[in-house]
Order: sequence, then structure tokens, then C-alpha cells
Amino acid sequence: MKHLNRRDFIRALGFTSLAAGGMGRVLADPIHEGSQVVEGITASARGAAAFLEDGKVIQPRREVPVFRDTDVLVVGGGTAGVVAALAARRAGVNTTLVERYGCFGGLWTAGLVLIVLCTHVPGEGKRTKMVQGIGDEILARIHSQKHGAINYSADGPHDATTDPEVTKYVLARMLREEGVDIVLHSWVTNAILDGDAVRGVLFESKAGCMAIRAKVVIDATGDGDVFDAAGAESIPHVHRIGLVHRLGNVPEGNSPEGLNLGGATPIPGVRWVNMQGPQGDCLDVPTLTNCELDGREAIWNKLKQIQETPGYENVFLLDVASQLGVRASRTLVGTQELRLEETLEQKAYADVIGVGGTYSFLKNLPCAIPYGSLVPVRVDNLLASGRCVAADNTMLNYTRLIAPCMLTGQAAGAAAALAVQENCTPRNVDVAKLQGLLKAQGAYLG
Amino acid sequence: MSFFPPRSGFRLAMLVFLATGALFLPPVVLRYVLPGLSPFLFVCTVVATRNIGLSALLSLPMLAFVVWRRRGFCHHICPVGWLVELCAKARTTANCDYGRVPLIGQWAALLTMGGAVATLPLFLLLDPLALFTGAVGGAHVPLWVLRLACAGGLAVLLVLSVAFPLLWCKRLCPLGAMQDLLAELNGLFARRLSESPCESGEGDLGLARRAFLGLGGGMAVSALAVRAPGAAAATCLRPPGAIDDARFATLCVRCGNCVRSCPSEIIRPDVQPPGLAGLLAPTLSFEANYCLETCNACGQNCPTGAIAGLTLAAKNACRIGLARIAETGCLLAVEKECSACAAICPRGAIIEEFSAETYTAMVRVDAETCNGCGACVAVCPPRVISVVPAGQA
Repeated sequence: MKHLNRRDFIRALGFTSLAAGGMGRVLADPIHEGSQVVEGITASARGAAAFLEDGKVIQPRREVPVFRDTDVLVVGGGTAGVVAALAARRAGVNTTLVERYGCFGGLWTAGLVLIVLCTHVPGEGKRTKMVQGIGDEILARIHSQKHGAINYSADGPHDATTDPEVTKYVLARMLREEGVDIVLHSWVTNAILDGDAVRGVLFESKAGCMAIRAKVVIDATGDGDVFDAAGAESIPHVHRIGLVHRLGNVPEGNSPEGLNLGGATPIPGVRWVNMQGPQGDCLDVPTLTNCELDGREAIWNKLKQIQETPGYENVFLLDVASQLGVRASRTLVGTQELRLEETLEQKAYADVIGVGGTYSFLKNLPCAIPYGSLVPVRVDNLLASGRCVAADNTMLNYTRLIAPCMLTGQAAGAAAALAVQENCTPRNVDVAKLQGLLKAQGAYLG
Repeated sequence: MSFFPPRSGFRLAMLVFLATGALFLPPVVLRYVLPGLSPFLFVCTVVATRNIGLSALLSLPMLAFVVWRRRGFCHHICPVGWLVELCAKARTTANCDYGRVPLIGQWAALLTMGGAVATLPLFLLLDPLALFTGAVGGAHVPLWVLRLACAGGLAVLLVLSVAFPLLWCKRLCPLGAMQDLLAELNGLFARRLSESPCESGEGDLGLARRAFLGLGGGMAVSALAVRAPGAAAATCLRPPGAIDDARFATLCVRCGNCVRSCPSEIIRPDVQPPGLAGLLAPTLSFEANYCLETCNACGQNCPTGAIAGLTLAAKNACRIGLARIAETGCLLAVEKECSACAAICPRGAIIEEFSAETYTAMVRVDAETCNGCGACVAVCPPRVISVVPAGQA
């Protein structure tokens, strides 16, 4: 029998399956179903395999290939990360955005948390919009799409709710329009340190572990993975971990007593249902695994209950969030901390970088966020943004929401760009210049 | 003859001092000035609460003064007495002989002092200084009902004084009557020491009879009232450190000091009390604010000990009531993003609980830790939290 090499074997297999499929088409080239046998398109960065030494798993020491060299590196493509990347790029520096999944928006989209809270404060009769700048620009663009958003307005009584797919699309469009260097499906796992200064990150990918070097790194991971890897001090939290889902074919009108049909979405008949879930350590793999599995089961149990209710028999489960609803894990120990009592007494911060709308425990007051809450105490070339900024145990329930993430994202992006342009560390950025840049980018600072 | 009664200058100064004091001085000044000024309030509250405060520095000399100078308080200090005399001046021709009017004031004073022995000073709030402070005390929004009531009471008193000049001072006022009693007692002792016993007159027998009946009756009524089943159970929310409800309504003289001193403005006169006895006594409303863990002003400003003058730590250890979260309406129960109550609770008394069975989170009040400060009430977006009095919890 003729010895088949690998390529011949695959080719033969292709022909066989074609014949078996009964296709009458004769192909000129033996490439089938879009698949093509190639060699060496991806240089593997995996390095040599790990080995055992006295029963312990050892990773060999090696040089890590550098995938990118950039000015500002934003880690995490959630709300804060996207806004940070846009702000940095618009300020005129090379910006790379790394995201572990394949879409942007994080918990806002993949997490199906569709309501954009804390954009407004109540006023006399009408509400006043606090969150402006890039965040509001994003919301306006989402709203301009068909079925993009509901309740989006300058002074309306309700908080905007967006469609996750429109949001993913708009965020990606805006990043590409600005020329942000986008790196998807890459999970940042470690920091590159030079003393107390961060010089970049390592990320895992299908191609193995690679490095991105950057002048300033923005940690928009939500969990503070980068600042933790860089040795910055942080505070660990446990919080409820939920799993959000959407229901389809939900009849109009008030839901019956005891039936939680969630909130309206821009798509008629589709509602999004939040979940609180059990409290747990969001950095613990078994916890995350159980929350994912238990949450999904709970959703199906609740769906069954809905479908047993007369009039709701045809409600179906549209989708379950692909990202677990993690509320809090690490918060940075910053040079300043956002504190409830200071917010309630409306303390004026000289380094204010954003003013957000009100939230349940803020007694209808707006919330100013100081730049210091993004700056680590010791580690340089690093800024936090989004859920993991420095905030006390109450205020983290504010900073973790979408609108405040937009504010800290824009501030981190602008500050990082300034640091690159001024050739200084982010902690030494001229606050007046930063505030000027943020205002030029449309932000409202009170 | 001047329009003003004699000794007007001093009492006018007193009045101005009290009024400006209430308006501008730190509220704590009133705490010492008001009970210190009224020997009646002082004696009754010390006996009723079995507690003597710093105000005794002012009260004891005052007590000595009124024993030494009969009606010395009325003639030299009492701002209400001055107003009553002013009214009397308008009716110079009126008959001021009230010989046939019973000694109501003395009975009230005796019953109150007797009651105080059984911890329930029955008619304490007839003290004219309390009425006066309630009426003229510093402006304060939740206080208007009390001020109106006290001003109304004062107005009635003044109208009465125009119709029957000096009737209030001579026959009705328990503060004045107490001074008469003290003076009579003083005279009695003086005679006993100097004269033979057979000279003790009819008046002495009358005094003994009044004292026996008044003090005894007051004690008996109070003892019964305090021991009545359920009397001590709190049915209203009272400021922290408040004495049990059986005693509170009588020990509180409705002076309004607690209302005025509360920076959160949560103390207000009760206009819808469960029983008439509690009318206009301070109760709490957490609609807009809560009892701050940094404040113990109400007790520090209470002149009678109805609210104990506690240290901050002791006040924070007091239980006002217990927070209760309604079974339906909690946002967390419908999976909405909220933990406002748990986040705001200064004592960490609101605990999140997760039910694996229903896969829902709920908040629960830990009855051991909660002191009913009310911080969770106003912050709850659907307003489903209330604080219930300890007696109803």
C-alpha cells in the first residue's frame, strides 16, 4: 500500500466525504468547506512544554515574544476599557486594547446588564444629565440605531436601556474609526515590571503566551488583574455573583404577582432579567464554575414557573449571559478612595475627573470622582479604571455601574495619553491639564 | 405708679436671656438653665429618675433661695409670673381675693411629687417654665405644632390672668404652690423649734392633711399606672435613652429641647399618639434622616431625664426600635440591583442571605445588632423598611 503523507491523507479524506455526500460538483482545487491546509501561518509563542521535576510542574524559562509595542495599553474591553481606549487615542497616542472575549462591552453586553444607571440627577421636574463626554456619545450612537436604546434622553425620568448587540457593534465601530489597535481573544495574565514601574503585560492566547510593551497600562479588567500582578495593594471583596438572561415573547402589561419578568429592552417582547445570586469570591475558579452552573439551572427553573403561568406559556429563554455577573472582587488602594461620607457631604475634589449621576444610597446627590482613586499608591505607569478603582465597600456599588465606568474609563485614557505626551508617570500628570483635556473631550466635571 | 410691676427689670432681663439663649446659645445651655431655674422640675425629676445631674449646681442654691424667700422665684425670676403680673396691671380694679378657690396648684404639686416617688411625676408639664420654653424656644421646622400648643397654653394662661388677675400664680401654678409648701414647712419647723407644740394651728393640720393625701395619692396612682400591664412597652418610637413609655409621657414636659437639638430633625412632637397621655411628646420619624451615630444631643438637652443624658457610646448602645423589612417590595427580592440598606447600616445589622432553593438573595435584619437608628428607612428606594418600637418588635 502506498504510503500517504499527511497532506495526501487529508486530501483523500476530502474526496471520500464529498463522494459520500453525493455532491455532483467537481472542484478544481482540493480545498473543501473553506478549510485549507497551510503551513506556518502562526508562529507559536507557546514555548517548550512544562515538565515535571520531583513531581512538581515546572515551566521552562524562556524569552517571551513581544506581540506589540504601544504607548497606551488598555487591558479589558468592557465599558471602562473601551472608553479609556477611545479617550487615549483621541488624545493622540498609539493605543492598544486587549480583550479576553470576542466582543466589547463586557458586563454591559456579554453580561447582559442592559440598564445604564447613574447618568442623571433629579432636578426640578426634570432630571439633569451628569454623564457626558465619550460615554454619552456612545449612548447617543447606540440610540441612533434602530432598536438600539430605550429611555435615552437628556432629561427623561428613566435610565436608558440598550440592546447588547447594537452596543457591541457601536463600540467596535467607534474603536475602529479612531484607529485603536484591537487585540481580541487574548487574556492578560501578568504584568511586566521594572522595579515599581509597569512596562507592559503578558497575555495568553491560542498562540501561547506573548508580551505587549507599553508606556502606560490601564487596568480595565474589572478584577484589577494587572495591578494585582504588578504588586499594587488592593482590597479583596466578596459580592453577589449573578447570571443575567433575556426572555422572549413576553406579553405586554404588568407581570403577575411573584413572577419576575425583569425589565424592558429595546426589542419588543424581549425583557432582561437580572439575577442577584450567591455571595462569593469572584477570583475563585470553583466558585465561578458553580455560579455558572447553578445560575443556569435556576434560570431554567424560573422559566418553567413562568411558562406554567396562564398567558405566559409562550415565553422562551432568548439567551443567558456569556459572562458571569461579577459585581466586585478587588478594589485598588489608590492615592485617594471614593468614600460614601465624602460623597454625601459633597466634598469638592481638586482633582475631580468626572461627575456621575445619583444612585440609590446617594440621596439624589451627584457623585464626583477624584483622579486619586485611579492611581496606585506605589506602582508607576499604571492606572485603574472601571469596577476596580479605589472605593469603599459602599461606593464600589456605585463605581461598578456602567455610567461611572464610563467616567473612570475616560479619565484613565486621557491621563495615560497625557503621561505619554508629557513623558511623565500618570501620578505626576498635571491635573489642570488633565481636566482641560477631559473638558475638551466633552466631560462634565461639575 | 409705673405700668410695669415691681422687679420688672430683673425678670425682663431673665426673659430676654431665656429667649436669646434658646435662639442663639448652644442648646446644651438650656439643659442646665431650664431645670436649674425651676425648683419644681428639679425636685420632681431628681426624685423620679433617681438621678442628679450637673444642673444641681444651679438648682440647689435656687431651692435654698425659695426656702429662704417665700415665692422668691415668682417675684424675681419667673418670666411667666412677670407676664401674669403685667396682665394684672391692666386690671387694677379687679378683685384678687381667691380665698375660696381651692389650692389646685398645691394639690398638683403634691400629687406630682408623690408620683415622682413612684417614678411617675404626674403633672410635671404644668411647670410654667416648660410651657414658656416650648413657646419661645428656638425656631425649628418640626417644632411648630409644639410651639403652637405651648404658645396657645401661654395665651390661655394670660387671658385667664386678665380675667382673674394673679389667679394662676396664687392658686394654679404648681411651681408657685411648691414654694408655698416649702415656706409653710419652713414656718412649721421654725415654730416647732421656738414655740410649744400646742401653738401649731389649723393651717399646719391642713398642710399635713394635704401633704398626706396629695403625696400618698400621687404615689398610689403612679405606682398603679407604672405597674399596669403593658404600660412600659414602647408603642411609639422615642429618642434613644428614653425612659420606658409608662413614665415617658409624664416625665417629658414638652419643652421641645430634644426636637431643637436634633441635627437630623428626626424628633418631632407626636400629634397622633396612641394614647392622649403621649400628646406632643417627642417621637421619631425616619422619613428623611436617621439617628446619627455621632450624636447624643437629645438626651444631653433633656431637662427632666425623660431622655437620659447618655455618653455617645451608651446612646449608640440604646435600642430605639427594630428595623423591619416588608416581605414584598424589596428590590433585591425581584433581582433588582440594590443593597442600599445593607450598605448604609452603620452597625452592619442588615445581612444578605441567599436561598439556594429559590436562588434569590434577601436582606434580613439582625435583631441583636440593629438598634433602630433608622438609617435604612430613607435610603430604601421602594421605602419598604420601617422601624417598629421595641415593644412591637
